[in-house]
Amino acid sequence: MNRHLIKFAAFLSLTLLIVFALNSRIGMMPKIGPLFSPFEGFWQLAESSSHYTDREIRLTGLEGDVFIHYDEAGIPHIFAGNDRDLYMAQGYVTARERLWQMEFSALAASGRLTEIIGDQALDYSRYMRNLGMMIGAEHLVVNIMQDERSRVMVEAYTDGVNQYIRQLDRRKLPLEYKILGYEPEMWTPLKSALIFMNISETLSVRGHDHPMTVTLDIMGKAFIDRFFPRFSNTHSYYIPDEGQFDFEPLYATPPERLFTPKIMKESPVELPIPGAGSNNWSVHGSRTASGNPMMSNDPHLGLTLPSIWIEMQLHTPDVNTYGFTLPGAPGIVIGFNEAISWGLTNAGSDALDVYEIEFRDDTFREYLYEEEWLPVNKQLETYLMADGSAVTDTFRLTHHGPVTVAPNADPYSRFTPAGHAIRWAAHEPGNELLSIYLINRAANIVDFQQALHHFHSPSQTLSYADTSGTIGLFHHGKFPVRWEGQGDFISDGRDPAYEWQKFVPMDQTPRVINPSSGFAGSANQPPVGDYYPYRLGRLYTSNERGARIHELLSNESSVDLSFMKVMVHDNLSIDARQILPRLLEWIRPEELDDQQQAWLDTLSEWDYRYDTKSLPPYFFNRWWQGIYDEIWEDLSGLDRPASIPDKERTGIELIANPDDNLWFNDTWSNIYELTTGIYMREYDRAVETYGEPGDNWRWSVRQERSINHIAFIPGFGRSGLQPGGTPLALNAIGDLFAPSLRMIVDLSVPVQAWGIYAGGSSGNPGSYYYDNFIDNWEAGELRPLHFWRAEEEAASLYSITLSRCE
Amino acid sequence: MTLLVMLTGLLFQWFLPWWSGTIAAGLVTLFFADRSWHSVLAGFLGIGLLWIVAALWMQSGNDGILAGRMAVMMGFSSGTMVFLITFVIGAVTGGLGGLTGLMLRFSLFRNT
Repeated sequence: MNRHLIKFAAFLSLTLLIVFALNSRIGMMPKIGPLFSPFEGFWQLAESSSHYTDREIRLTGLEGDVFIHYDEAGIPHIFAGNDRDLYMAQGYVTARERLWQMEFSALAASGRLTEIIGDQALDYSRYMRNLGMMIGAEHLVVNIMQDERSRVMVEAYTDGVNQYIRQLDRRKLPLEYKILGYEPEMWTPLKSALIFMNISETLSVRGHDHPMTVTLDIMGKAFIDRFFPRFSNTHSYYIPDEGQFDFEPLYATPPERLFTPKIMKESPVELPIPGAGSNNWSVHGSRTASGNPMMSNDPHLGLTLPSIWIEMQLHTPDVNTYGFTLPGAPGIVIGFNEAISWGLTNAGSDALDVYEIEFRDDTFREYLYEEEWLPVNKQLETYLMADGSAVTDTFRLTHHGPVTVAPNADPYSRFTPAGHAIRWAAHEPGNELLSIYLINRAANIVDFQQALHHFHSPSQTLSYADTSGTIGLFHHGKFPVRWEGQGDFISDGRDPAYEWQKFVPMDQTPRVINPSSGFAGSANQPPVGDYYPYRLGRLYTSNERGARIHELLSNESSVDLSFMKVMVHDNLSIDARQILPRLLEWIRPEELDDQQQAWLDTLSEWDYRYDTKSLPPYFFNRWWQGIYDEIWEDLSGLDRPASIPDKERTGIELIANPDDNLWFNDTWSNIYELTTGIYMREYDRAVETYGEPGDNWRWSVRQERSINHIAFIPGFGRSGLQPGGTPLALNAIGDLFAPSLRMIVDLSVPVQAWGIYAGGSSGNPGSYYYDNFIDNWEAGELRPLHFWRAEEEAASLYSITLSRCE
Repeated sequence: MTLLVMLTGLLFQWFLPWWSGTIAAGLVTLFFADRSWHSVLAGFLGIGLLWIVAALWMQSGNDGILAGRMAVMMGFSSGTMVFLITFVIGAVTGGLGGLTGLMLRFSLFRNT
């Protein structure tokens, strides 16, 4: 046998082995060979100035040429001849910037992330599927397709995305595809609908029914009424009573007797996380320096990279609109046109009810409704895994809606207990896309209100202002007409009286136009008092931010840009201002040592602002949180999830009745012991961990913020940010949620606007435009937005011409 | 000969998947190499350098943004490591290709 031949065979095998290994996915590790190859791997995504040069691209189906001008900040401005061309170009441009993100979001919404991430995504995917995300998305697509305008919009957009995917040089495939090892599918209108469902999931799945039921069971009704009041003179309602609710309301028939829910056994459920919220406000010309209205909006969402938003301008001879949209959703979601501006905050009214279901037996095939056993609609769900294997599960549907956690299953997630069904407004969408289409083109308040008729979910509070001088605020969505108390706790799935019997007519939702105060603003707090005839919800975000908006705007009669900017970035916490002086009163100085005493002086001089350099906020938070935790220890330490009163209500009651027995457990006998004891404890702990009060206690140092990549790929996010702020101030920067964009619009003619969003146009981590706005965002700076009236005005860094291809 | 590997490698990888660099190194040594260290060196340096030069070219004007992010992803503090790994992967696969090519040459043309 030839010795060389043996050597050849040996080396050939070794080479093949190594090449094969480098070309394989091992576990979640990417294929190393192709990833590192500069000819096809990640190096291909290193973007440089050659990317930012003029080019022409041919698209089929265009009726004329479309010009996309990128400005110096990387914002695309699209100029097209008609709707179809416009939305095709929007689809193309969005895919160019954010293809991976938009597909990832759609996959997440449809419970398919297991296909790319595997096991770790199984619980999340199950949650999304059992929530019935697909039910809502399919209904939305049907509604979109029934109107010519929204149909053209979504079809052209889809076509634009898919032409981008088809033309895409596989070497330039977005980085995340290369790392996670898969390729894009074609886009569909259903995926755009899923993007809307994602937002409904984020904003309207609250799941208070179960924990409220537990609290009711333990503490009784008087406690609920005191600590979770539907109406209160401490609520800062943003829809005032100006005689606008003089219509004849609809009524829902209450049940003959209230039922007591059965689920009282342990059932670990995630409690809803406080902190998601937003601010918006409009100021009438009578209170601005220019005499024209001004508007501001900053939605607080989980910050990610790529950003949840993409900013752009859309222009045809019939529409000129600028603002922010979700990658995957055609049109502009938050923004302005040449006549009006609009902004969104989450309405927070109750959009999801949990129903106790009585199954006939352990096969869960039938459930009781009135006197009858109705069949459960069962469907087999298959979850494909990244490694090619599959997991199956049963999806159960009742006439109320889906059973979100299988009966007798370990509750893997979230919000609802096992064996219960939900009814969720997002399963019954309107035509939100048409609504966006019409808002983008609205010329006045009449157009705007008509556009809202198609907007069902997620319910939003829309601020409005226009160049003719009108302002308004609309708490809007599809709201069931509820009898008093309906949906506050777990509902009876057997009793028709617990169903959603009717809906609030679309023109009877709470709203105010040109309020006598001269301004209107919302921050997710309880929207409207008992002068409004319908009951929309009980648990809203607390009132601190809303009250601060009201306070600042009622004290300023000459609002201008610099005032608005300061207001958007306001770090004052009404929570701190309300409770801290009382805590200081209740402390027993004779029990403190010298250092604790000295620190007390620093606290008493604090201006209640969560500024980056400030020392007191960090300690105040610990102190107040410590007291709050001690007070509710018995409720939070249970083996079942109980709703706990928020800090605002706790503070209000604590100040009003400091001697109430509720506040003290075995360790403390009165308010002085409680506040002093926890002050000393937290002070000593803080000193032990961070040393004497000094730089280490600065708010920015203690509260560094990070923005993670959507799929949590290390290195693709940003960390070490020090923007200041707190969830209870207008500059609502928290651990989980923060102002994802900020926009101020001056409704003079021509309309001018300033804004920033926490990200950049590009979804490519190898691009300068991936996160180019983050530094400005962190520093509290806004950019003037280039709102070009005509293509000739466009001062672009570079342009892409989409030309018609026969 | 290193230069020859680089050029052939460039040509191959322009049109074919990443592993065609290995074949390029093998083909060059099959026809031109006579000593094992020549072939290994040519394959190793040829493809390794080609990858480094191409990577540098691809990311020129990028200001190290991408290399920096990839470095953090892999747990390194600096982008230099990313270049180094790129070189090593190119070089190892190229070197092995060169060696295999040489062995084929020996077994075809040299009988013992």
